[in-house]
Amino acid sequence: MLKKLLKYDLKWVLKVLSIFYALAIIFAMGGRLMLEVDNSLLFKVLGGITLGLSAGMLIGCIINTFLRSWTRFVKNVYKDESYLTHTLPVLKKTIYNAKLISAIIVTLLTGIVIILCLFIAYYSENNMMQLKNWLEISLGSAASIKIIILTGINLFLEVIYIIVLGYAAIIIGHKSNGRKFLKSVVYGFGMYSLTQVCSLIFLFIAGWLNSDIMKLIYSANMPQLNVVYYVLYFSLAIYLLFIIFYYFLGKKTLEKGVNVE
Amino acid sequence: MELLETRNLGKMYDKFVALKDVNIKIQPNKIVGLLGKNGSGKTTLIKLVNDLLTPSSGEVLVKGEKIGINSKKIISYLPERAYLDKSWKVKDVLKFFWEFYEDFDQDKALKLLNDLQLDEDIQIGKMSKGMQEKLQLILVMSRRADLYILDEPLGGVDPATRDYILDTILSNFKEGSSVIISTHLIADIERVLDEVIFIDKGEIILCEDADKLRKKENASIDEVFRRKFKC
Repeated sequence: MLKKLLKYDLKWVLKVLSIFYALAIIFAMGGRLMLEVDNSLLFKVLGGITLGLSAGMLIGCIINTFLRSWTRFVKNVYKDESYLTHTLPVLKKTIYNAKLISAIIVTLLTGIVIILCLFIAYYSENNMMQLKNWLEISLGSAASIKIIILTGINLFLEVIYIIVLGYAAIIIGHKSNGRKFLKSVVYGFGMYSLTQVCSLIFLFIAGWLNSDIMKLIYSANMPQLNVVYYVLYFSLAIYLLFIIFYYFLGKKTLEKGVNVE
Repeated sequence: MELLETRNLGKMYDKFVALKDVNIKIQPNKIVGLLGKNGSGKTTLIKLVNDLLTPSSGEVLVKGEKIGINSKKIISYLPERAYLDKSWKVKDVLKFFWEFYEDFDQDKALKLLNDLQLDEDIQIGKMSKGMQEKLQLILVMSRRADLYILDEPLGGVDPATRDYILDTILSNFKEGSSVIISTHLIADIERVLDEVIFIDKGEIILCEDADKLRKKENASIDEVFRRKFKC
């Protein structure tokens, strides 16, 4: 049943996002072509505009990854379509898991499209060398691909964290009998602020345990590479912790039942 | 064992009591009319049975089990609103029902759609409200369920459509199954009812065999309803 639900969820979310993906890639290719074909001012301007359009589409992809995931959740679990969703012979946790897995897949796809567009638009040996040099200068030593991968994983987890937090806020907000949408938004902001405060507290605790991390908080100097690693692993652990917390909060609350309008 | 049983079922919205201590038992092979004025609690009761609302008190049992996957497999529910994804085509929704409900009879659904001359490729959002309601009814009645729950299937439709709806219900429900029809348009369904449940202000005020009630009151169900609910 999970597979079947997932299929329908993905279909719905990707129906619009696939247009953004296609346009982002097409504009990236167009921009690159224009910049490669001719070095004249006209082509430089046109190429720049086309790459700008591609960037706009990528921003659209990111925004839609959040919005379509949340909209699908609200429509399917609390609005008219919920009359079908909740009468399917499926557990509530399966409905929830399908929505979450679809959001994870869409986030990964969005990430791949972003990387692909950046690659199409800007890849060259010269640009790669410049990036490597910039990283070396910024971090004060030989920066490895590991940092880029860790940063990528952190960004991915941040998106998942925000989506899961959104689901939990929607579920808790819809527990009440009135102003459900407004309450979901308020809960969402409240929960987000609370977790940010918690992360800061955790960071200070980590700072007490490791003076290098504390220097990062108080000093304006560029951190050493090992501190960057500490922080990246630390944020990775924090995101995982919050994702797990909000996942279970949302799932358990949903399992207790719904009150659809 | 009862097909459906509610025990001291209640639903409150903050301080408003929508349903209070509802105790009903539905046996197999019965057509039951859930009758009450608008806002009497009919839809709340139906939504509780279909897991769309969480009870404030009491419980719902279907074949002795609490509401869950097993109950949803044997209940076919028609809500009082349009609930299908408007972007779907008719063929998409047929596929969806076929994928999720083991008891969905696609051939029967296709035959009923054909009788209505409804194109499978038409988008639900482009259909009239009446046609959407008929499509939903076809989907619900194409399941070989043990219990059909139809919430206001006759509400807001013309007499000819009412006849179509009643005919579709009566000629398509599975033999031996039960049907609960919620309505306030009693005259239209009176002749088909085996049992009646009167609900008012969230409380069950009468639950009786239709024939016995007619005999006892020496009046039609419609008349009994009018007397009981006189403003």
